[in-house]
Amino acid sequence: MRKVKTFFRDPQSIIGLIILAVMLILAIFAPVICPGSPLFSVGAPLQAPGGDFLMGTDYLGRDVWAMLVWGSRVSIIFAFGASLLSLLVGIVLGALSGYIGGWLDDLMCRIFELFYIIPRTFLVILMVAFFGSSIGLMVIIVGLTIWPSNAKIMRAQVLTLKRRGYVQAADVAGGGRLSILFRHIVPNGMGPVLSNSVLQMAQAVLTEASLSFLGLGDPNQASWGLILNAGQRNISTAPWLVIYPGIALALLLLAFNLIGTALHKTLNVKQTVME
Amino acid sequence: MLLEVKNLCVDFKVGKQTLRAVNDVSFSLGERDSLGLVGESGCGKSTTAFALMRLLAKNGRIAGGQVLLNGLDLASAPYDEIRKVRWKDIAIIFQNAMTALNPVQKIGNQLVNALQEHENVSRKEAIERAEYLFERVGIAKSRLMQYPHEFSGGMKQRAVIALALICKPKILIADEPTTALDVVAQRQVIELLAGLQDEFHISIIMISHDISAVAEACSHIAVMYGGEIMEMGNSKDVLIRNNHPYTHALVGSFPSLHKPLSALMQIPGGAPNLADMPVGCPFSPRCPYATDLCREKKPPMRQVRLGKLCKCHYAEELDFNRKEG
Amino acid sequence: MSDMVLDNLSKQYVLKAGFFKQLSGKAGVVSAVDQVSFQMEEGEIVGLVGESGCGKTTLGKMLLKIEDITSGKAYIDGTDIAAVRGRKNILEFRKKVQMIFQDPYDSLDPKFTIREIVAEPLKSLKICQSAEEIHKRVEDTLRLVELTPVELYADRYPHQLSGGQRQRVAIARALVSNPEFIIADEPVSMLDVSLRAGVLNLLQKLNRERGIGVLLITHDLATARFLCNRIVVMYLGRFVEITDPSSLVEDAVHPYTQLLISSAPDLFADTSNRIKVEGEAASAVAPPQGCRFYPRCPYTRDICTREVPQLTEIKPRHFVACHKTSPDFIKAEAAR
Repeated sequence: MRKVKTFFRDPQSIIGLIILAVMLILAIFAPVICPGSPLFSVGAPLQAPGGDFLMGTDYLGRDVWAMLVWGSRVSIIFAFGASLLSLLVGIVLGALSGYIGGWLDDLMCRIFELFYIIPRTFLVILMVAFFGSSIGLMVIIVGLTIWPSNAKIMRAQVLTLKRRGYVQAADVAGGGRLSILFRHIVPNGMGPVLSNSVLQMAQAVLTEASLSFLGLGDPNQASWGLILNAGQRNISTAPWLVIYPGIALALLLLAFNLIGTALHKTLNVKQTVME
Repeated sequence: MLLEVKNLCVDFKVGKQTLRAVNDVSFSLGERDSLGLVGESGCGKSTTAFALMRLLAKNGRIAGGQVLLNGLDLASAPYDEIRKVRWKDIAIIFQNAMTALNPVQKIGNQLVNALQEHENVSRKEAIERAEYLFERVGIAKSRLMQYPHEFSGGMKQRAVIALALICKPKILIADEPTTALDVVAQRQVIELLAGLQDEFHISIIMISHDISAVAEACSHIAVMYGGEIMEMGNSKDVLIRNNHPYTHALVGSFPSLHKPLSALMQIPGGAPNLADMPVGCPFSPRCPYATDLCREKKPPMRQVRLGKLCKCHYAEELDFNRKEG
Repeated sequence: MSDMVLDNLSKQYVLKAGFFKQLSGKAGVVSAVDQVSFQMEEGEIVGLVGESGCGKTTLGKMLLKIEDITSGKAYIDGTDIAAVRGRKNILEFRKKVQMIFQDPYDSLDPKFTIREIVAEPLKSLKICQSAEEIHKRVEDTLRLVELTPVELYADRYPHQLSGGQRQRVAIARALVSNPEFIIADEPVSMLDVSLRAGVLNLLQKLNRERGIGVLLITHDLATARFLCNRIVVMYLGRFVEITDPSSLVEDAVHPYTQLLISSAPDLFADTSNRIKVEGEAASAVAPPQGCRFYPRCPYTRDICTREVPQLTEIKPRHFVACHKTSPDFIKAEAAR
């Protein structure tokens, strides 16, 4: 419980959590804040910010503020969806690999490394080209490409934790192998994996933004990458088209990084012990 | 007196609280004296030793008192002065020999480097001295240029002792030097410390929870509890003719090979909580003889007989040995 | 209640070549436990005493089926433990044989409450089905190990307890399945002195009241002498002396036992004429031929370097594995 306290007292995590909370509110209440689809043209194209529209309009006359608000949904879904998937896959594969060991471990490690060296953006582009760009599919693809770091961390955790006394004690108490692994070893090794997966949220958001920017995103969803994509042709005359989504993206990434590092500090640093 | 510790207090900042880990500790150490600081974990024995060398953790500080080494107050001296004194005048052996030795450097080189750091000697002289010390601690000098992992646990501990002695210090602090060792290796280290004392005229402060090991290695003992010295004097006088209920319980809870078999004494309750110390005697919550006086008033340290100090209101009245007859 | 029989039990580890090869000059086999035989009677507390690396912990782990047996047999209650196979039989075995680990700071899962820790064997071993039954049995066991008032401790986490209390939790976990036999590996060596007595007294009480057999693995002869009915002294994988604690100090025959007794720091011992320590402890990687103790033994003769001394009963209930007790040896010595 002391760890929870230190986490919530850390200025880093407080700032991160505030930004994230604002983004979450925007995402959840998007239909209330900006009713109607953000993808319809609502005014004259390329209006400057401050007039009828808080953040101006793009070349199709779409409200940038509305797109930004709705776009936060996509970013948040990506962040949580992809990292959750990556967490699940990473934990299960990493834990099994470390616990069972032997040739299976060797094989799994090679697979982890294989996923490391595949150029992710390229893979995603390939998949989108094959299967079309629905947001659900993209979340799955991104999630299934970022898990190896979680797996590697969990594997390392399991390797040290499986020698702990309470693991042997659980064996003597009659626990089965899987139950020992997932009840005693994995919960005690979650710290570093969790902090890593918060950092991965940033990665997922960035990946989505780059894809949408390249025009490979879901065309039926307003996303920050989409605004950037639409704005690039007018960048010299209407810089707000890239500035606002850019700031939003930077803020969200900052939030995830702040929370991730704060989490890392609280979960992994050993408490100083007297004597 | 070579070393005089006067009313030493050490505080630790933990969160918003300030905890007093060492409270008003005073003792002195003459040339070729040996003093054992004994007590259970958290009693402040290691903290006292670390404070003498100003090796406290970041959140700890000396809150009062003096540590006089040949007139220099180590408690208040600037850090540069302390650095000169460390290893040259006071050396320390840590509990875990494995961490004191650099695993990727030959032990002989570690000794030579330590000596050359403090004294202007040639490498040849330094090696000669290292070889001499190796033989003295009972390791063949042919093994000088080996790596730590090639040594057994007992040998590593003795190599660490040689490392501590390379600069001919006047005082050697040994923090739990025998705890991690087997019985036979333990005895070798204890005998070695006693022998070295005669040969090199060093004074030893040994910190341990093992009262029988300390009794063998040291002429004098200070029993610590809750950051304070409870009883101090000649080893046998403290441990066999004890005046403090805590010392008595501590001795009684050790199984002995030679005493007739009897039930082991059990001390009720747990280790003292530094954040919540009683107003009176720190041992009063666990003491079977405690009265209201003990709970309300801290007993002063006083002499109960020649050379024997005790911090108990009833030091003279409690005669455990007679009672058990 | 059950007894335990060891019959030429051995454990060997094959070393990976390379690193150790350079150290010892040859790659090889570590003989951690070498052909030990022993019979432990019902309800006995036996102390297995030896220095670190002598194989005592390995032996304990073999008896618990944590380590495999290389050769020889071990029977608990007449069952060959190597033949216990299959999940169901292993669970049955675990009900009978339990273990107390050395380090109570390591052996309790920090994420579990005391109640969950003690309840675990009941659930894993399928001893209790209903929640009420588990609840009652856990609280009864906590009371038995004197962690009272139970309500105060049951829902805490291990880090909220002291070392002595943690070790009581570990004992409760070992006891809750009502085992017939407990292996206690250095149960007090990590505890503060003032708390050790409490745990040792508790073990003694459990043995007396419930007749649970205890194999106490320890490096400390004095602890074994205090607690045990019999003491087995082990050196580099072999049993060298088996004796009663009452006669341990006066009647120790094996030079290694004598060395241990003489070396143990003790407030009440006469330290003036101790046995001299010779040499460094040999390693189990390349143990000496013949008697494994001969390089450190003050009485070494030719035969010690060639032949392995066998455990022989020199007095009722007193076994020694040393050539100097054999009639031939005594005759030869007299003739010299």
